[in-house]
Amino acid sequence: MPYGVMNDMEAVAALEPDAELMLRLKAGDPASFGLLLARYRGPVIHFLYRMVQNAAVAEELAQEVFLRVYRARASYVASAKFTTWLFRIALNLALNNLRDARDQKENASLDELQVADRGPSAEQRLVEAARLAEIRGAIRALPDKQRAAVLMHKYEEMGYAQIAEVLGCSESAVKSLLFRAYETLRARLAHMG
Amino acid sequence: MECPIQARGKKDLLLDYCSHSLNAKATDEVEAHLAVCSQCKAWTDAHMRTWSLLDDWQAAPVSPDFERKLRERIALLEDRPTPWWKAAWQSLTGRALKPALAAALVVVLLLAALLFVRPSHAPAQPTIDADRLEKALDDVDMLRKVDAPADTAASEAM
Repeated sequence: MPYGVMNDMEAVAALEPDAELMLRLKAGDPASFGLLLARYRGPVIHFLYRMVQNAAVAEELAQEVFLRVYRARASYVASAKFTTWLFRIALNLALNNLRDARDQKENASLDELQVADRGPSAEQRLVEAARLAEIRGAIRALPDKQRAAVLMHKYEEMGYAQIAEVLGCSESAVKSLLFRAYETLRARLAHMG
Repeated sequence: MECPIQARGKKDLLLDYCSHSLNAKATDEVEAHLAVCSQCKAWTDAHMRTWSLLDDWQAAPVSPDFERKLRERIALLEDRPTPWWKAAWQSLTGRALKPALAAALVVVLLLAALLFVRPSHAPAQPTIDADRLEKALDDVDMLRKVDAPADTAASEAM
């Protein structure tokens, strides 16, 4: 190899450590998968939880996300940022789940009780549960793409370019989605401020 | 600084300000503008309140057995035998033979094109009408039969 020319793995590692871990996994190092899992298990589950608003379903979908990542290791090419690829898988699974569950009745009581346990008194717990239910309801009422954009922007702290890549649209479309979404949330939650 | 709300396509500046993702210089500029623009100030304050409300919604904690379940599913995946066609394809593609396979495919397609696609300017082949041929042969037979008695009679007269 000529001096100064990096091989594939070095070149990707220089760009992104997550892609390097995927390439190591591809080369047969299972420990790399453990590192990726430790790093992204939380963000993926939390994103899915906020998308589908059901903890058990979110974990089930997250399992599927990481299974797909593992299955795709042999054909993995570090052409995009790892998290973009990861969240695109998660988003597609969440959207499929939402579409399938659209006609089914919601069952959110368990999750709300879990949150409600935090408050010190029964009355405070009820107030807190009602408050969180309103926030969740406001986010749930957003169209799927707006909801995904807000969750990635607000909770995963992704930039416009990355959100655009995950959603498969332009950066200006993402800004427009976010504006509309935040305006809607602001109107719905105005009485709580 | 141009008013982000009035200027087309500049609202993201306020959004970035609220999410603390602007650099120090841009932050100072926005803050200077907010001090004189009530419209932007009202928008920013309202957005900050919404932003703060969203902070209250914490995701449920991850189950302690999440990783164990995933490892079990991966183990099941590993135990499953690979289908023969997939193994064959992987062994081929694993040897960096993709360009060779692509070239072979191109050759096959070219051969197929040569075999099945005839050029439109090729001369038309003469066709034989079986009915007309049969009829012509019958006519010849009939003429022979007609001529034969006449020939015999002529030779007898001589």
